Amino acid sequence: MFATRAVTSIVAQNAARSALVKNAAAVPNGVRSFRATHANLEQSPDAESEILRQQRLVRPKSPHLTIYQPQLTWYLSGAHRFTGVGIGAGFYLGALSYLALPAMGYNFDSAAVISSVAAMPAAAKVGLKATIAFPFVFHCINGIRHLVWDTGRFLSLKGVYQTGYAVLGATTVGSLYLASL
Amino acid sequence: MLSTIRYLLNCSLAAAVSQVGVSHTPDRVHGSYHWNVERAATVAMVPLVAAQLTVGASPITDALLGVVLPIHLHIGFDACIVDYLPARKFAVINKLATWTLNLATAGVLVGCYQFNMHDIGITELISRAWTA
Repeated sequence: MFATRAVTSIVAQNAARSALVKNAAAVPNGVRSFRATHANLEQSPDAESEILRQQRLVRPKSPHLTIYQPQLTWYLSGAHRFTGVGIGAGFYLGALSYLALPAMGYNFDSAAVISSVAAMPAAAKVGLKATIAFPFVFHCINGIRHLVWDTGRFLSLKGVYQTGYAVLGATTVGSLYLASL
Repeated sequence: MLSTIRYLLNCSLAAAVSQVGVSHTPDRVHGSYHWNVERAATVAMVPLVAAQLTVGASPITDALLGVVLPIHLHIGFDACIVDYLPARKFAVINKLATWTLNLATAGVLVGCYQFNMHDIGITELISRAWTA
């Protein structure tokens, strides 16, 4: 009871400055600074649910991705998904464009693609190739890392970090090689 | 009335025994085939991509890739939909996304087939565009 009073009074003091509280103007003051007095606690069930509902509207969400310590584990996991979606979306767009664009009057066959790539300046070509090679190579090699885990190997913390750094090294080498072609 | 029915049921052949209270032994592999398909597609990608990088263009590689690659991508995208647009929270958007993905994958499969048949093929396109 005393903790609730302390917390609610702190919330009431900081409500004006708190950027976490959205809809600050739209909600009546009693919701953000609910004082758990005997009278307030003897609300009817409907009034209680209503206060709860209004509190949920202004309740801030706890930070998660923004505060978790950067670690190789979840960074590489996120990168695996990110690169997969990126390369995959590119492939899907390319394949669907091959079907759809000719129907819309554009010329989109292999000759058109190759000639438009050949017409790009050399720096742009190298940049584009590096931009595509790095995610692709990373996703491939990290995919092999996942398959290795599926056999039950390297499933310790040390193993995860060892394979993780190996993947990063191999990705650098592989993507530099591919971009140089 | 009910007791009459129950009596008749109990009198009939052994096949009509009441199933109330019978628990079936759960099948250990129930629900795991999805995982198997996902890993099979991923494992198949490894020699295919390796063949692309070493041997280069070949009709078999392109044909297999035109099937395995869309399957792999479909499973990956489906995992994203399940993770970020769960049906429990987003009933309509989840269905919309799932069916858009199904349609897109069907289109990609058709596109890969057409490209491999009537154009130079996936591997040849990549190698020519890469060294253009």
